Amino acid sequence: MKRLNSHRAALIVTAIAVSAAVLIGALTAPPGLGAADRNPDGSYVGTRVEGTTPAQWRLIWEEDPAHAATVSWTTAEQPKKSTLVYDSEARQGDVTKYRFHADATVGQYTDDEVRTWYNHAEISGLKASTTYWFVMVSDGAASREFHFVTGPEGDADFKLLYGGDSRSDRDARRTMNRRMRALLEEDPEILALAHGGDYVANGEEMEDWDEWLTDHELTVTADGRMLPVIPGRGNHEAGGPLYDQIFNTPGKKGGNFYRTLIGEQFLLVTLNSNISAGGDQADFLETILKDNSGVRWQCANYHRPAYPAVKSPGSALEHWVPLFEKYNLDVAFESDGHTLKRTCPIRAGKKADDGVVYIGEGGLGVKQRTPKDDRWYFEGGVTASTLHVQKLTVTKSMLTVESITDAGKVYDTFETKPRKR
Amino acid sequence: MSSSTDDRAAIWTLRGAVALTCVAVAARMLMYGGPVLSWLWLNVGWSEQAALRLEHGAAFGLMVCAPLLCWRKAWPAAALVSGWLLFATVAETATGTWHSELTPGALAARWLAPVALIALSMNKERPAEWLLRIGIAGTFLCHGLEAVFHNPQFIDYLIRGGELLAGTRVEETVATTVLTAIGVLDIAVALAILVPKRLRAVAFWMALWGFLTAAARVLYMGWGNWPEALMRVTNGAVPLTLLLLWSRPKPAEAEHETPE
Repeated sequence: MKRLNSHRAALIVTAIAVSAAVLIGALTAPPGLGAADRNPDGSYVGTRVEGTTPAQWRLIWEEDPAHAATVSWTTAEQPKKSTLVYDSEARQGDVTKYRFHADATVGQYTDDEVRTWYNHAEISGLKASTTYWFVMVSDGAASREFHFVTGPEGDADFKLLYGGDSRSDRDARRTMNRRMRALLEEDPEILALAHGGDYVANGEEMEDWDEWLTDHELTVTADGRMLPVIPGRGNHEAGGPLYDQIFNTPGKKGGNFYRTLIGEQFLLVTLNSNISAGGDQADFLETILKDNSGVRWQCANYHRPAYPAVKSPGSALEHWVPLFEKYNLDVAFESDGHTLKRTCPIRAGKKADDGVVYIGEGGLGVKQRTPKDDRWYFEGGVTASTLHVQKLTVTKSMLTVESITDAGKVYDTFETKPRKR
Repeated sequence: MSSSTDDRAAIWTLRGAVALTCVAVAARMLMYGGPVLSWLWLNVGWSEQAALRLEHGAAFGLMVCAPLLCWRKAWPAAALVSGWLLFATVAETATGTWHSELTPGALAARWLAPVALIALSMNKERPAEWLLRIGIAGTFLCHGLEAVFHNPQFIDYLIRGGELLAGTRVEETVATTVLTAIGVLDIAVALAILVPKRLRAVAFWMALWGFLTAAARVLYMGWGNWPEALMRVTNGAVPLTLLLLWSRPKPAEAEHETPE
């Protein structure tokens, strides 16, 4: 009886103490977002994936956007032949009139349930700063006519979008895709979107990609201009072959890290935070930054942050940040946190005027977290809980990064001048 | 050393480890947010505020449980801790990306340690011993598999460890090869600890390696990363508890050595 009572006493004491603590913890939790902050649903239906009709179109840039690109699309059935016809003049979709063509590589996406096919047409030998008009054709089924603008040569001014984390909230993703289309329509100087990864919740499920690809059609302007994607790999598509099948294996297989030179004076290094940061990738990063030390603007794009607004830092902090600082990188673009952030300039773990600025955290279509804005590196920086995309304006005298919300409002503007290297 | 002293050392080792785990898990949730927040908010559809409240409440609850675990009647606190750690493991499995199917096994020492503590504090030594064996075997087996699959984080630990300890930059290919060997060894000791014999050398190695790899988190990213290291303290403490339990003779041996 006495033993029973002592157990009962233990249970009561523990229950009271823990309940009180839980209650205090719950009541002192920082404010988060409520349901009212969600974006309303749209009613968009993308191109139906049926037969060999080209659908889920995307255009991929990798190392040399002035002269090469990959145009990719999905078909429900395996086409006997898929071809991209293209020209530097509009041909109103008459496939017989386009001067150039490229046969596409066709393969089936690796998935147990969604049995659709990818088509990748790699085109090269393009002229810089030129509008190319094209039509995708699979076994006679043709898309409408689209166009895109190749990257510049020389010391050119241009604009670029950056964003990440378009997963998990389809309504928000569609909203942001419409926002990017609106930006492209109002500002034709925008050339491409550098994506920081986490396109979908489960990158090993084609069902998720199916939705993302269909939603991505929303980024195409009313007159058919396609926004090229410079893809970076996130942790939600870390495993499996689908990422490479969607984006035609950007960077080498198993690595997915590469450099993109836009014009002569803008370097974007896309890194993969899902593989070893300190091994071959660190060697690659150092070589690229060293070899391009004469390039005026240098930026990096990777998924898991070194200076996160919500979570704990990734391996980038140990292995890449020292190289960013050694070679005076201008801006590192980071995703993953589901919030908007811009840090103060950072060098050697401290605020420093000549430091590197970290911008992003992913707002292309995922519910936004409440940022931990009391972290030291946000002193003089910015945090917010809002869907967003960054617009980079690259000129000879200034690099400007504007963070634009889903409503189109410029929430933050960062400007930096060319620095000595 | 008398058997009662060994028992006391074993139970206090486990109490201490589970209490430190509580503090570390709570700190991590308060500093960075945990898997339960992500799961409930992003996957289940809770509001961020509700998920935050639950995690903050749990963090405070865990911090209160930590001293209660040192009480003689620790079982209610240990049961709550185990329940939360298992819940967090399920959430981490649901939200994780890289071989998340291994997460429940990889974290088995963490969420089974409080259950073993309940058994041990009720003098149920044999079930406690097997809970400890199964827990640490799961942790080593799944970490071993992650190593064989070349977890990129582990590769970076080896590269950074080489720089810090030996002043040498280990090539990625070398680190990958070493990691494979470590993985095979982890799997081997995981299987060995399940052999129904008191393999003290195996338990000693697991304790040493468990503490070392937990400490590697601080070595890698500095003292600010202490929750990551402390969260893994059971990886060394569980085999150490086994070692302490095995340091005294088996009941039959004891009878033989000290006949009444």
